[in-house]
Amino acid sequence: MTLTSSLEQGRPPQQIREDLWLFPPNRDCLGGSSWWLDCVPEPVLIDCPPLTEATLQALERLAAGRIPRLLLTNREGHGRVRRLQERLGWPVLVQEQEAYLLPGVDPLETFAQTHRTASGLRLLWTPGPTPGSCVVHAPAPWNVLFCGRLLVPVAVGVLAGLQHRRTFHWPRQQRSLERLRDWVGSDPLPSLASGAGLGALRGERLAPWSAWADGFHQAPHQETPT
Amino acid sequence: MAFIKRPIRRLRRKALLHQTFRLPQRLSLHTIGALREALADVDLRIVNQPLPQLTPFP
Repeated sequence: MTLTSSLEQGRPPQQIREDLWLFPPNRDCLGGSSWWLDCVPEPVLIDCPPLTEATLQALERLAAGRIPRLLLTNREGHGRVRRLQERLGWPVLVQEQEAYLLPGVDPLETFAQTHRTASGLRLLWTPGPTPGSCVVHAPAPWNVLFCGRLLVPVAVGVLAGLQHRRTFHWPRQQRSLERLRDWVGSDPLPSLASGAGLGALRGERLAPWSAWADGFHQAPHQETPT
Repeated sequence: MAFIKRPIRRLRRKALLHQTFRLPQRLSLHTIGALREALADVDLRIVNQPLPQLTPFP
């Protein structure tokens, strides 16, 4: 199907560091955040940004002739990825549990437990928020952990696992958080880049590793699943 | 009243499950839940596809 409607103008991404950009909140993903990491040889776009003219222009400028990879950390970050992929043609990587949600996307690659990209980024399957949630660890020199919705900003300088009505499996999410601590290792501890809305951080974008709160939070007025 | 409310709520949930999810083609609750809740660009043709063999959950 040919898209004839014009896109919104939108806002361009914000540069956080020399190698890291943050796109504006995406309404198609409940205000989720998507990130661009300029790593060599294959830059990555993590989760789907809002499909706007400003986004497309920025992505073409940032790609600079290279073929980046689109990593999706959970089904709530898919947004309008198929339309974005139709326009840009970049390959998409997703955990196998959520690949069935993207039948028209080609090329689409999947992984099961772990994966390593051409640039050395590591992916780990962390089910809980959704069945196919995963995290992306960019080791030094980037030193960032893109945690999708596994860790959500809950206050200024605090990220935690959050249970709410869209949570797929809360005990699995708790186990995934414990496994993630072991998997990342301790030297050096990465900064945290959440894929959820960042409003609770009140202007901060990247959070230090110490912002990861030990306790698990439950959204108020939600019924605990049986 | 709490001791009455809880079983009623459970029965209602079960009834809703059976009523809403009576669908053909090996559809699991997982798939239906994903379809209902994901705001993704979902193509409903997937309901006629067989589910692939996936790695078990850890």
